[in-house]
Amino acid sequence: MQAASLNLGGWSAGQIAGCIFGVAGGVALLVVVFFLPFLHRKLVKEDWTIRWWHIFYGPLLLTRGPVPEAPEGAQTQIVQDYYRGKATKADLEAANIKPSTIAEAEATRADTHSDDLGIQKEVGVGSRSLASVERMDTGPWYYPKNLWKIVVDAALHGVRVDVISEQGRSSKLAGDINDMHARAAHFDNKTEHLYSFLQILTAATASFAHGSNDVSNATGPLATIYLVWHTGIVNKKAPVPVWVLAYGGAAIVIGLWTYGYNIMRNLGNRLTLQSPSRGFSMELGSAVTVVLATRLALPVSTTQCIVGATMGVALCNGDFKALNWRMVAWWYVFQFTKSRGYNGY
Amino acid sequence: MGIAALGVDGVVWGWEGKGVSQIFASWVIAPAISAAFAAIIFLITKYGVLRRSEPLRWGFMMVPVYFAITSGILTMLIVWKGVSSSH
Repeated sequence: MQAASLNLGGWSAGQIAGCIFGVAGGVALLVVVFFLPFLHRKLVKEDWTIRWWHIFYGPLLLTRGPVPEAPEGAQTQIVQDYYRGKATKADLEAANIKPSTIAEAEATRADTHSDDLGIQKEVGVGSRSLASVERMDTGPWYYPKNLWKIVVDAALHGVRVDVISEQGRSSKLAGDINDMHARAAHFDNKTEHLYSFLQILTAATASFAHGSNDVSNATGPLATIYLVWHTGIVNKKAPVPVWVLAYGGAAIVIGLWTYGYNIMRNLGNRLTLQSPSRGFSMELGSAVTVVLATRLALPVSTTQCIVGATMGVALCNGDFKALNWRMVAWWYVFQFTKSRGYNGY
Repeated sequence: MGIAALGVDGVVWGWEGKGVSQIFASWVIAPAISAAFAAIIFLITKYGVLRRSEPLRWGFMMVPVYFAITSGILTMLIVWKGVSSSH
């Protein structure tokens, strides 16, 4: 059986180094020629008319002339507020609320929504009954259009969850979220916006590393079982068929689609305050580690690396309490009970 | 796979070779190394870009560098993985 591979075995060290530096230099050149003029137009000139396809104009954007006046009342916000709903220490003091009292108030309320400061308030009875009124209006569940709605809701539930607002809710594990977030600095939003583009690239790198590293761990036992069933021989080293790898990749995507929000909820803002620049540092840090480990043939889990990187950034976020130690401890217990470390062999 | 194929005695529990203790150690060491790298990158970003008086200007200078480093790492991963799995 053919193992999945690129046929790069014959490459010399020089060819590999040339390939790496060539790609890096090429990407840097493309960024300077096409991406920087776009960013300059959008962020420095604050051109509200610019759209994503203008990126292909490249240097021509520098000759685009003055920015037209925005019509009255038009929505011209250039960059979203990456710290929306996150209070700073000064905000909390100005509102004269001790962070701990917010957490206590949240814990006693089941139905909450967050206002601009992330401080939870009770939702009125009216808004709760609206949904039930709508439900009564559509008729019984077995109507074809309702059945279709049930199917769509079930299929899309995992991707529709608003992870950001879910994270605002305190729990035993989350602890005092407002206090933890208030310890981290808020940086310039436009600069943060630069990192949101970089984050796409680092996220792609991280997921590639995850796929190439962890899929083999997870599919190892399955491949062994299949091989024993197929050949009747127990072998210490077994080749993994390509279809098992494809199955593993598909299973990861299905898992992410349906229940991924649980991990995002707990290992995102509940671990420390997140922003594009922080997310970029975490993803790049863990990618470097995974590449090193791959080179040295050390067994690492990309999940452990990304949590480790999150902890590292969190400790540089502010003080010692900018990291949710309770969540870290819980996560280690979880890793231990999962105890899959030996599966890969 | 170890236990499935070779039984409980087939598992190396000690430090020799690729023992279980070594894997437990990797649960601490790998996140620690990763934390160190991420902290270094974030500190460079924090004091080299975000905390300066003109963060956007410094951000523009750093973006091509970051893109080059990240795509270089991605290439490294693809090339090395390709080499290691083909033989």
